[in-house]
Amino acid sequence: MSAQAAAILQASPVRLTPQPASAPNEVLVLCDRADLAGAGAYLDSRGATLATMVGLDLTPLGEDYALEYVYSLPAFDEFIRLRADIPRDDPEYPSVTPLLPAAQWYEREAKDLLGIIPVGHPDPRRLVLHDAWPRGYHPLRKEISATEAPPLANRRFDYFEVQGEGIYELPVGPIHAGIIEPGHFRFSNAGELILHLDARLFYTHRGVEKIVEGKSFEDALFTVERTCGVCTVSHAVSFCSAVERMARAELSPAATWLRTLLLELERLYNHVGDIGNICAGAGFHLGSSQGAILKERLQRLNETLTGHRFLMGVVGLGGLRYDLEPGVLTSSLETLREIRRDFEAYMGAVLSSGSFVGRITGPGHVSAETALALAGTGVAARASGVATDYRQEHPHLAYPRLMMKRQVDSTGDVGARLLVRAREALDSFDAAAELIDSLPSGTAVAAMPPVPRGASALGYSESPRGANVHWLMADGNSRVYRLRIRSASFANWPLVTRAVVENMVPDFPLINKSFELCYACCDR
Amino acid sequence: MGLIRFLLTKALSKPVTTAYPAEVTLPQRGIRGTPVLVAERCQLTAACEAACPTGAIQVDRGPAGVGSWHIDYGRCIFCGVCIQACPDKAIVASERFELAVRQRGQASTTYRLGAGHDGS
Repeated sequence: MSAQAAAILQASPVRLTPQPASAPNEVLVLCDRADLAGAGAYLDSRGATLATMVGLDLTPLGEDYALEYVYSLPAFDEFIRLRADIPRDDPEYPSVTPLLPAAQWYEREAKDLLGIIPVGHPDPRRLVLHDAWPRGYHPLRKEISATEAPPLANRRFDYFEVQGEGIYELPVGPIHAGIIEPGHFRFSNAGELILHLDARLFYTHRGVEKIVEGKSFEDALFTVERTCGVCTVSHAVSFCSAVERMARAELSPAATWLRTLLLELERLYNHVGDIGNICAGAGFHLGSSQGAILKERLQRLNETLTGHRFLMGVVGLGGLRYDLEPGVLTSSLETLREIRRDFEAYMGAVLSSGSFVGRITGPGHVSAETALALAGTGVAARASGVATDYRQEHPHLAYPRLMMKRQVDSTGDVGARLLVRAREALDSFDAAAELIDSLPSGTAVAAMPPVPRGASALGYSESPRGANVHWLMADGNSRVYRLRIRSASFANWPLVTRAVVENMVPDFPLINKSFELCYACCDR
Repeated sequence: MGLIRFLLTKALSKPVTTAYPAEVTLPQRGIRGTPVLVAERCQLTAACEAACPTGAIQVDRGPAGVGSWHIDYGRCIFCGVCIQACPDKAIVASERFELAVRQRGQASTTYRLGAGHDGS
């Protein structure tokens, strides 16, 4: 624990008892369930942000339920894991959400999946399990089997209704016209203006966290990597890093470099593709088709380098699953240079279209206060003036050496999110080239030391959409006891519902694409 | 680059799309396509079956080196673990990427090995 973190804990008005944790930049702090909110508000006042929250069923170990709120202290690269026991015969606690709105979805999720009730939560509706699921059925409890299919009932959904003269509701989805994932959006409008958006997601909830329980870390990695299609490297790196931190395993220099390279390649094809998609949202076909061509070239490069267009199956426990061929890496430098040059020409052309720039300037505004209060992450937060980036706040892998800039824009609209992506893409081109140029010799493949029984640790990485934070606990046989995947999309979806307020309905596709969040890794 | 010049450059350049499927379209070199068996190398160790995370591979060993190797591409996630696990280097990643079939059962392949079989 850093001296600064220790000082913050010492000065707390709420009694916080630090315990040793598995990783050097984590502190486990026990507190009473009644103090979760007070302690959270205090940590928030000292610059901490909610990184994830996990509900635990520890009954097979002879304990009760538990909740752990994980706060990131960005100034000192530290995580404070605030844990409270929740008695199994009285699974309630005072909700943290009234003081920290960022906790809203986490608490609703723990209520659905574990039956731990946040008393005083301002929106106690269901979140992950839709209304059809049986009442009192909490699938993340250990007594429930992952393969059992509960009986579903036909029940109406609850919606927030805006009432008044001339107000109408517009339902959109869950099935959409494009090749996108399912989500139901219920707009309340006055004329063209959106007054409120109720987003019902979690249609792609597959129970990933339940499926991996009891699996070996090796087997779980295949599932975790496929949590979504576009942040696979980030999920794999976060998961592996949690296992490695529990085992106190060190990565080889080559593995460190190559994992960083894979993360930057993932950011590249996502950012470039997302910029093309924003053009599509504005009906700017030249921008969207040329963006798609650039993305395709980057994905073909991925395939040449790793055998997989989405970079799956490369990251492994202890490093990589196999070594990449140095010759192929070196020859990709020229390809990267060409795509970078064409991307610059593309951005110049896109931004010289007055009608496109006019369209992306203004809509979907998110203020810095909103992004901070909801603990937004990644591009969504940085484009609202919140300088959060795990690559600098919690330096991992080769990032301390790369010294990448935090690309921040305080405008907060669709245009800002596009510009932040464009600047970051250029940085990623340069970072990828530097990583290949300075690749340390030696293998990236290593065996893993054993993981201590009952250990738990965080793993994290900055994905194209923001920080992917994995919370992992091991059982006694190097298997998963509990995994909580906090994807960047999970953190950022509530921002989308704020961004559309007071915008026109026809701008929703554009605003939604400017966040380009993933449904699958939000829903899990 | 200005928008008009960019548009003209793109409009005057060759199309990037191909006449697939009329024209042969090759995947990138290095693609991790469907795992296929090099039958003459297979010693039926079943190391691949044990290593496969999705249970896509089934190895049946009969007497005197006769047996079969079965893979269900409907379960395969193309992770390449079987390729690494095989002590005889009998599995390779092919460049095959066209996997659509009309019926679920057609998504699998069986190789018969040993006396009288040549691995088809």
